[in-house]
Order: sequence, then C-alpha cells, then structure tokens
Amino acid sequence: MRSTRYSMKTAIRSTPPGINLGAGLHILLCFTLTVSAYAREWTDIQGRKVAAEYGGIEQGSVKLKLETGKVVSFPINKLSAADQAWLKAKYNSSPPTIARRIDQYVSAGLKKAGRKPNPRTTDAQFVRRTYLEITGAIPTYGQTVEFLESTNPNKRKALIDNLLDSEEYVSHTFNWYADQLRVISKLRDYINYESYIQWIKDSIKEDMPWDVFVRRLIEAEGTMFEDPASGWFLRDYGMPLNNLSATASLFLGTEITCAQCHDHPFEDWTQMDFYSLAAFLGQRRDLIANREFNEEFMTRRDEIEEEVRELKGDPDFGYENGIRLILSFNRWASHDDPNQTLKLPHDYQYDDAAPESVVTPRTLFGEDVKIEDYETPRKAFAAWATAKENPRFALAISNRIWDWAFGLPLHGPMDNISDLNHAQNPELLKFLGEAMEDLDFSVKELRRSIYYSKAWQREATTTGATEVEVGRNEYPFPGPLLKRMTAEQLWDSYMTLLVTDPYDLRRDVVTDAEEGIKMDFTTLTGGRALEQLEKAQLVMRNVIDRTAPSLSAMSEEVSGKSYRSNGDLLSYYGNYFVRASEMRQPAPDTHFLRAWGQSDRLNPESASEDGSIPQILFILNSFLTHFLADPDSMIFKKAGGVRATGEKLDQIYLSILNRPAEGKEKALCYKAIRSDDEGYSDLIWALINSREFLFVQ
Amino acid sequence: MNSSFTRRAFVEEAARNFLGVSALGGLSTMPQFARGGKASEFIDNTKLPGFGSAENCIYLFMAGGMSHLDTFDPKQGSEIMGTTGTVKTKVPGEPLADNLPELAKLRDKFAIVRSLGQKTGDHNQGSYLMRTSYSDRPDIRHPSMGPWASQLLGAENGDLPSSVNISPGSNHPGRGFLPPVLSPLPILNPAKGVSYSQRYGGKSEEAQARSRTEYERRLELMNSLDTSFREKFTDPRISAYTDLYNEALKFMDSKDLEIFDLTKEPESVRARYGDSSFAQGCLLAKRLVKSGIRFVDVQKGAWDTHADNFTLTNTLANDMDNAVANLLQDLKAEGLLSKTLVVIATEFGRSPVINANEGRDHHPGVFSCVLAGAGITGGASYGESDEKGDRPKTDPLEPADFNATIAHAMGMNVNEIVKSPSGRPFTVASHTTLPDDTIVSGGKVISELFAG
Repeated sequence: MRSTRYSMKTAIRSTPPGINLGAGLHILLCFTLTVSAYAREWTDIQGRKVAAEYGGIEQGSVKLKLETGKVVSFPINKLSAADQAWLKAKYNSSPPTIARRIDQYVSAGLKKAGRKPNPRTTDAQFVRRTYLEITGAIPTYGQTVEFLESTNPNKRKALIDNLLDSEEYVSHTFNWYADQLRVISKLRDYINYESYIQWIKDSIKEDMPWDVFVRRLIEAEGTMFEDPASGWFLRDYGMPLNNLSATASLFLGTEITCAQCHDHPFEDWTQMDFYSLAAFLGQRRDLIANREFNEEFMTRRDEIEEEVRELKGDPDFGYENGIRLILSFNRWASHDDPNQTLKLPHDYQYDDAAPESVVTPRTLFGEDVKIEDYETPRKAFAAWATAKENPRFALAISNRIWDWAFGLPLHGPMDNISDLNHAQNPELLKFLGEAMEDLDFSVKELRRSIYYSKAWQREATTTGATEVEVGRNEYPFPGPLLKRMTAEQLWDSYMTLLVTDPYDLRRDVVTDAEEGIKMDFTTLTGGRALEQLEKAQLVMRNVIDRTAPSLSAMSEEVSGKSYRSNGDLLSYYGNYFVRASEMRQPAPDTHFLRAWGQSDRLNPESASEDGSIPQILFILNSFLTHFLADPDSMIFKKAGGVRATGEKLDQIYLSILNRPAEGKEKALCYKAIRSDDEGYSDLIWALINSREFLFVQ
Repeated sequence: MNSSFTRRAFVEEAARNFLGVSALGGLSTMPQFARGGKASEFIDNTKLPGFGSAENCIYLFMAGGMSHLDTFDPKQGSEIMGTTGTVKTKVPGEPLADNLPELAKLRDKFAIVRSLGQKTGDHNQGSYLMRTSYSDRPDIRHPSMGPWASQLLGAENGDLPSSVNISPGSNHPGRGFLPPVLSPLPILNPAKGVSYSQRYGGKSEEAQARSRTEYERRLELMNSLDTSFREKFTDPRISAYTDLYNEALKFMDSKDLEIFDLTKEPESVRARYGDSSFAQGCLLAKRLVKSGIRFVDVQKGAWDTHADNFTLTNTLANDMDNAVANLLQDLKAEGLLSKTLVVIATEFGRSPVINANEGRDHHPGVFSCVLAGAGITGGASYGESDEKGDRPKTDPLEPADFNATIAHAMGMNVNEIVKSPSGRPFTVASHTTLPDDTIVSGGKVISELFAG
C-alpha cells in the first residue's frame, strides 16, 4: 500500500522549471513522502525512549518509522512535552514553507506568461482584504488603526494567525461550505437540518481535516439526531443518484452527471462507470429500512394520530397539522439495507450488460478498494474517495481553496479537473494538492499558507482577467482578482458598521428542534405527541421561518425596531442584525442577502456576484443605508467622541474604507461636511455607495 | 379554428411554403427540415411564416423537470401512467393528463411540442441549455432569451427594463455576455413587486422632493470621491455597477412603477389566478407585457418529483393549470393574446418508470413544451413521443429548435451574429458553421406551428 503511494506521488510530483531547490527545503517539504534520513529520539510521558523517523501527523497521532522499518502510529498526547513542542514547531513551520513554494511556482507561471507581478499591497489594502477574506467583514475602526499603527515587522503574519483563530473565521467559512454543500435549514415544514448545520460549524471550528469531514458525510449512519452528518444524504432525500453526482463533482472534481443517462459525450466516463460508482452506495436508503420497525411505525402512527384527534376533539386533525410529518421525520435516516442492490436503468442501451441487471461496485480512478476489507460497501467507497492515493480528492479541495483566495481557480471548471494540463500552472496545482496531503487535509492550514504567500499579498489586478484568461485557465496570477464582496461579506460588513458585535447572537436551536421533533415511539402517547407538536410549531414559527437566531435575546418591538441589551439595534421589521451564518439557510428570497446573490442552495456553488437593479435599490432606498448614515448611527456615536473635523473625517474613512482620506478627497469632504451633521451623513452615505466599498482590493 | 390540424397537415403545409410542392408519401422526413441536429444550410427565417408575430413573450419555466406524461403527453391506458388519468379536451383525439382540467377546455388556444429531447439529466446543465441553447461552459455565460431580444430588437423602453425575471433561480443565465444594461430586472416575490423603488423618507410628494435633492447631493459626492478608485481599476465589473446605479435611478423616477404593484389589481382577480407565487407571477407578467415590457420569464420550481410523483405533480400541475388558463383567457379578453407569445418550458421530462418511492426520475430523452398566442396555431401538436413516452417517435427536436421558434415569432433574425466581448460569434438559438465557413443558426424554426 505504502509503496504504491510513493510511486504515485513521484509520478505527479514535479519541480517548477528553472528553480533549484535547496536540499534542506526539499527534505522539509517531502517529510511525509520520502522518509527523512534523520531518525531522532522520542520520549513518551512514562519516560520510555525510542529512535524513529518522523513520518507525519494524522488525527492526533504521529507516524513513526522505527529502525526495523515498521511504521507505528503513536498518540501525540502520550509524548513528552519536549517532543510535543518539537512536533508543534514542525507542524507550524509548514505554512511559511508552503507559502515560499507557492511563490516560486507563481513566479515561474508569470515568467512563462511574460507578465510582471503586481505591486505589494499597502497595509491599508491588506488589513481590509484580510479581514474580509478570513472573518467575512471589514475591520472596525479600532482594528484598522491597531494594524496600521503597529510597528511589529511580522504584523501581517500575526494578523492572519489571529484571524484564523477567531470565531468569525467559523462564521465566514460556514458560508463557503454552505454554498458548496447546498445547506438548507428545512426541506419541508418540520424537516429541518439544524443539527447538521451546527455540526458543520463545529467541524470548521475544530478544523476537522477535510478527508475526515467527507468520510463522515459518506459514512453517516442514522437519523440526524443520532448522526448529524447524515444531513448530507438527507438533503437529497429520494434522490441518491443526484447526491452521487454532487459527491463526485464537489469532492472528486469529477463531473459525471451526464453519464447518469448515457456515456459522457466529452469525457471518458461511460454510463456503466456512473452506475458502478453508484453501486457502492446501492444499499443505502433515506429511511430506516427495518421491516419490523416499519410495521410497528405504521401501527403506532395510526394509533397516535387517532389519540391526538380524540384529545383535540377534532376528527379532521391530522396530516394538515403536521403531526404525520413530525412522526415521519423520525424515520428519516441514512441507513443501509444489505438486501438492496443497485440495478441498471430499464433503458440501458449498451451491450456490456442487460438493462436492469445488478451492478457491481467499481472505482473510476486511483487505487481500487477491496469491499471485503470493509464493513459495508459504503465504507469502502468513503475510504477510496478520501484516500491520499486518490489523485483527485486533494486537487479538488486545493483548487477550490485557491479560488476562494484569489477569485479564480487554477483549473476551471472546478467540478471537473479532467486534465491538469489545462491549468496555466499545472505544477502549482499539483503542489497545492501535495501540500494539502502533507497538512493532513487541514483546510485552515492550507488557507494560512496561501495568505502567507507574497502572491496573495499583492495588489489586485486592475484590469480584471480577460475572457480568454478565464476560459482557458491562462490567468497567471500576478495578484488576486478584484472581488466583488459576496452577499454575506457585504451584509456582515454592514453589520460591523451598524452594531458593536453582530456575532453576539448565534443560532442555537438544535435543542429546541430536537425537543419538538425527536420522538420515542416506545413510550409515545397522543398527549406527549401533541405537546411536542406545539413545541415544534413554536420552533418553526420563531426560529426557522424567521431569520432570528434565538428567541430569548429579543426585546419588545417598538415601531418595528427591537434592541439588544447593550442598546444596539437587533431587528427592524423582521430583519435581524446578526451575521448571515446565523440566519435561516438560505435567507428568505426577498432578503438583502438573496438580492445580492446568496445561493438558493439548489445547486452546488450557485452564489452569484452579478449586478442587478434591485441590489442598487436596496442600498439606495432601504432602511439599511438609512440606519448607517443616520445621526443616530454607531459611526456617528463613535465619531462623536472627537471634535476636530479632520479627526472625524479620518474616523469615518477608516471605519468604512479602512484608510485615511487622501489629498484631493479631503478638500471635497471639507466642502461637503460644512459644519452640520447632515454633511457627515452625506459623507457616510457616499462612501457606503462607492465602488471602492463594494469591491475588495 | 384549425382544431383538426394534424402532423400530416404540418408537413404538407411546410412543403407548400418552402418547396412549392406537395409532400407525398406522408410522414417521411425531409432533410431540409430535419431538426434536432446541425444545420446543413442557411435558412432565412425572416421569410418564413409567423416571423415577428409576437410583440411580447411570457416565458413560463417549470424548474426541476416537469413530467411530460402527467401533463401534456399522457399515454392513455398505459401502465406507465401510475394514478394519472386523462381528460378529454376541446380538440378531439388530443387528451391531456387529468391534472390539467382547465387547460383541457382551452386546448384550441395552444400548441404542444412533444418531441423535444436533450442529452443531460443535470438540472443546472439542462435548464441552462433550455434557456440559452448552448451548453454551460466555464469560459462564457450565454444570454437567455429576454436579453437576446433586447440585443437584437433594441432595448429602448423609456425608463422600464425590457425584460423581467420573476422568481428566477440562482442559476438563471440572465444577460450572459451581453452588456449589463440588458440584465433582466429580477423580481423575487411577485406579490411584493420591486422592493425599495421609492426614495427613503416618506411617500408624500414633498418628502420625495426633499429626498430627491438630498440624493442628488449625495450621489455627486459619491461619484467624485470614488473617482480615483474608478480610474485605477478598469475591471469592467466596476463600470457595470456604475451603469446599474444610473439605471436604478432612472427606474425610480419612472411614472410606470405601479405596473409592478399587484395590489392595483382587484382582489377577485388575484384570487382567480391562485395564491401561489407562480400564479401571482402570471398575473404580474400580464400586467407587464400590457405595459410594454417585452419579455417576462416566470419560474415555477419543485417539479423534481423523485418521490411521491403523483401527489406532488397533481398539486404542481393544478396550480399551473389554473394560473395559465386564467392568463390565456385574460390575454385573449384584453386583445393581447394575438401579439403575445406564451411559452411553457422545462429542462427535461420525467421517466416512464415509476421508482420505489412512487417517484419519477429525470428523463432528458423526451419531453413536452407548449406555445400559445401570437400566430401559433391553436390546438396543434408537433412531434410525437413513442408509446412509452421514452424517446421521440417522430420529428426529434432540440432546445435550440424550440428557442429559434420563439426568437422567430418575436421577429429576431436567428442568423444574426452577435460577438462576445472577446470577439467570439454567437446566434440566438446556438450556431453552426457550414462547409463554406458561414456561421448560421443551429436551431431551426418550427414554422409549421404558425398559421400561415
């Protein structure tokens, strides 16, 4: 197994042209691949010692290659403090190294294209971009000034590190996951995904390695109360083949949807390939498949509905009132039925098999798996899909992370990395895939590495990328592209300007939802079911159907407004001033977020940065801009502390554009401000409506 | 009028119109008319019947994949029908699924195309192809029909947009590569119309006038403070937003804003259409075309009935049935139907095989769409699917042919080339290159559908 891996890695590992790597650098980079020649002495907490070579970190354990050649996995927390510190240093040292390599590859790509790199960002550009990129919102006045005035020579690195550990990192990264995974709060009334949503946020917070995350999705077993990861399958209830297409395109960078109905017209995939892959998941069902349970369920359901009707004294009380949906939801589970098989469609037209014959699971690329080695075919599939030996798994996520950071992928389309050589810089993409593996699939560490790079810290390309550069993957990345703020970035930035801490209220409704909807059929009575129904209806009304994060934080609404305990605004006619990640997913279709392109979550990666008239109307005429520019607003309150016009001016500029006003602008501002509040309102309004605010340099 | 219109009559009429001969031997396919493939010659559609018969178009899109069997292409008595039955219509021998009782009464007002097919069972790809005639590729976004009409026929429409998208999904291709000013105006909730179209600060005339002065002052300041940024960044997306600000301001001052306001309709009329978002969207679409907006796209989602197809499709189809029937009748009563093309489209059909969840899976092999009004022969049908509703039996068509027909009715020259910003040539219903390097429309107009 290991030897195969090495040969595979060797095959795709490459060195950029014209770059002579120092020996030390090479060893450091390849430490999980070509086992280092240097063994060191390891000590565990009981004082026992062993000489072994370091072989990488994997899920809380270190791989050690003993002198006998045997590789063992040892829990890191059982090692001495000194060894733990050594490992930590080793681990932490990786992103700067990876960043340097990224820069070498980008330089080579620029040279090939005959392009010069863009200049380095100014501190002001950097602080704004980095906050938006990692926390999803512009920095506050205080955060901006703190960075700009800092004399720490490593302040950029320090800022990146701090922000990657922030709570807002979780919030903003969730928006990205939600767009890809098509996260929704509910499918139908009472069919809700709150526990799945919370699980995704928790996994981002703990930086669950990407391979573990995807494995959890594919192996999910049980109801969403038992295993929240089953939300991935149950998102596509009744549509397992669609779910497989999403799995392939998102996690494996392989677009095989076409092959669901016929051989792929442009790629090598046959319809048999599609079904062979689907066969791994052929035993899985969306409902609990135990026949006894089902018979019991039907009987109990009828009994309970009858009891409920009697209790309510209403012979028509039933389906319409949601009781059946709630009962049924307790049967929704990702569950294997060993007797179920996947068959070819009735109209299968090729002569390698008969229509409606049973399909044997088979992988499409990478190492094959032996199903017998695993408990279920599904687990075998999960192991194959997420294996380091699978050439597309690491590339797919690395390419997406690059796209997120630079505004354009190295290889487009992202859902079909059919030929690496279609990338302008295939060596860079290969390297990123390898780096992702070396980082044990830490999404956070790869992002850290990219943000450390000089390439990412350059100014945005002023001309944008041409159609040809985008279409043929020919953009050589002299710097990131100018990015229009995503819907979530724009909303969350407004929140930063509007309230002191927009992330103080988190959506935490898993318990409420569970108390209402999860039912124990062995003890359930009609009375109990009715109590739960009422609870569930409350959850539906107050939490899921509205955008509010929780119920308790609300003050009484007066003239449409409610306030937080610190006096900051909480809501205005049902619009809650909280971060986008804490609202219903996706936001209702008339919400600001949707007008600005938040995905409707029907298809992966559907968020849009396109312009429309309603977007402008929202900014020009809605309560939002009014609240921001009102003399009552937080910007005004803060700027109220200083008297001099010049200082006020700087405060407003640093709060909104995160830079001081410059020469000519100052004169324009002074003229506009005159002496009254109206002038400041005008200025705030003007800056918020500027293109400079909307686009991330 | 032409209620006994048959396929044979189509072919014969087609032959008369284009060949000057009478087609003999019935249903043989003439190569010149073989659709559903690459064009082999230049056909000047401006000379064909029906050209420019439509001033407006209401394009109703059934997202998720509408079951052809349970709506417009039922197979009477076949086991593939599940619990769906059929209903007699005003046109003898032309039954519809019993999910469509109201449209059955109006069968003489619309034509059905039953031999459409395409190759992808993917929602994104399928709806993109249906709306643009092109496959979705990473390097370019193709325009949908509304912006194409604006491009080819002119977008001058006072302060109003020339096309509107009601309840579009996130993946609507919109203006594609055409200029940002041709973007359809999206309306996310038809009952609410265009949100925030009035200046902030009170509805009275005096308050609006005060706001106007304030806005002008602020906009001037904004534009001057933003100058250095706009000079430095020539990325076209920046100027697109500047154009949109100008459009939005023009729009806010339009006298015609109330056409977007459904509360101006009598309550009884709104109730008659039905209370779904789609039904209200149909009513709004009627108001909009009446006011001169050329192209209105209304989407109805949730047709993806993999489970419980018969219950769900019944609900969906009933809603569509009632709303579209009301729309056709009102357009007719107001004298608009003769110049308004009404289209029902979808991305693919649904499988004749009923799956274990009582559902139907995706079926791109064959599906049905509908055309009505504006010169379309009412009661007609074009193309047939086989007995199982599995593949086209006659006259196979591709989405490009269907779109060429819409473009043709609206008076667009389907061979007119429009270049993308990088200079690549495109036509409204996809294109193909002839051996002599001429670029012609890939889609071929179904001119038989138009009453000569």
